[in-house]
Amino acid sequence: MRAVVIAAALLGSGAGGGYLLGATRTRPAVTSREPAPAERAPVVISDRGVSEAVLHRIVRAELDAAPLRTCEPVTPAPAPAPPVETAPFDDGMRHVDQALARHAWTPADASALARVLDAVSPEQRSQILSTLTPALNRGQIKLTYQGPLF
Amino acid sequence: MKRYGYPLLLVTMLVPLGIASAGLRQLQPVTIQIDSANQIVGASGNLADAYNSADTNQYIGCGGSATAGWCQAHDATPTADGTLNLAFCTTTDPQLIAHIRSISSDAFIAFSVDPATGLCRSLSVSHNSGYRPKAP
Repeated sequence: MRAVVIAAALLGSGAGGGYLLGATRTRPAVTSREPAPAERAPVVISDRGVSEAVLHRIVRAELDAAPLRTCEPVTPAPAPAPPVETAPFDDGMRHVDQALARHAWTPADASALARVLDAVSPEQRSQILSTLTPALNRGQIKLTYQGPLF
Repeated sequence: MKRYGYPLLLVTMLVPLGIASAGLRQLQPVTIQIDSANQIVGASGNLADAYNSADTNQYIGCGGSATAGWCQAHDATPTADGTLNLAFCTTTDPQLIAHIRSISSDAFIAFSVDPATGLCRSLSVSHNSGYRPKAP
């Protein structure tokens, strides 16, 4: 009898505790936008419009008409341009600047410029010559000799 | 009359012969072209005529390397401050550089210059029987 009472007491406290624990949690409301499978309206295809064979033929024709897309060959990325050498250009411009400062173009300048012009890029070459030549024509730089300009 | 007849006849015969053997001869001294803004815009002249000129100022010519070329010309006036008697142009154009190579020692050349950049705008080279060769 005593055992029966203890068992009943344990059962009662367990159920009560479980109830209390459950009460502390708020259960998320179960929402579902989809109706239960039983509630879904059955899909009824009353008129398919085109038959499967016709549809297959249309798809086939469209695929045949579409331009064939091929994988383009992968071209390697162009190699990065070599760094522009600035030392010969700086040397050339320095000669021109010095000539402007002393108002004279000497055979030594001519020899140095000839070497520089062969070492620089076409753009740098034009830049050096576009600085020197107008100064010569304006008389800001005078030739100290009669001979080749460079 | 009879005394001077033969020599006179000889002179009469030889003078036209001398004229005929000369052909047309053109003298092309160096000239510098200057625009209204007092900027050098070109020059022209014959290389041999510049060399043969009585003055010691004239010269004209072009030169360069595989990558760049130049032309220069000095007229008959002496060099002095403020006088624009020396013209230059430079180029990196391969066609103009090739054209420069075609210049001979008795050619006539004419070049035009962009005054802002000094670059050669054009180069004309001419060879003609009327041009005088360089005198020794």
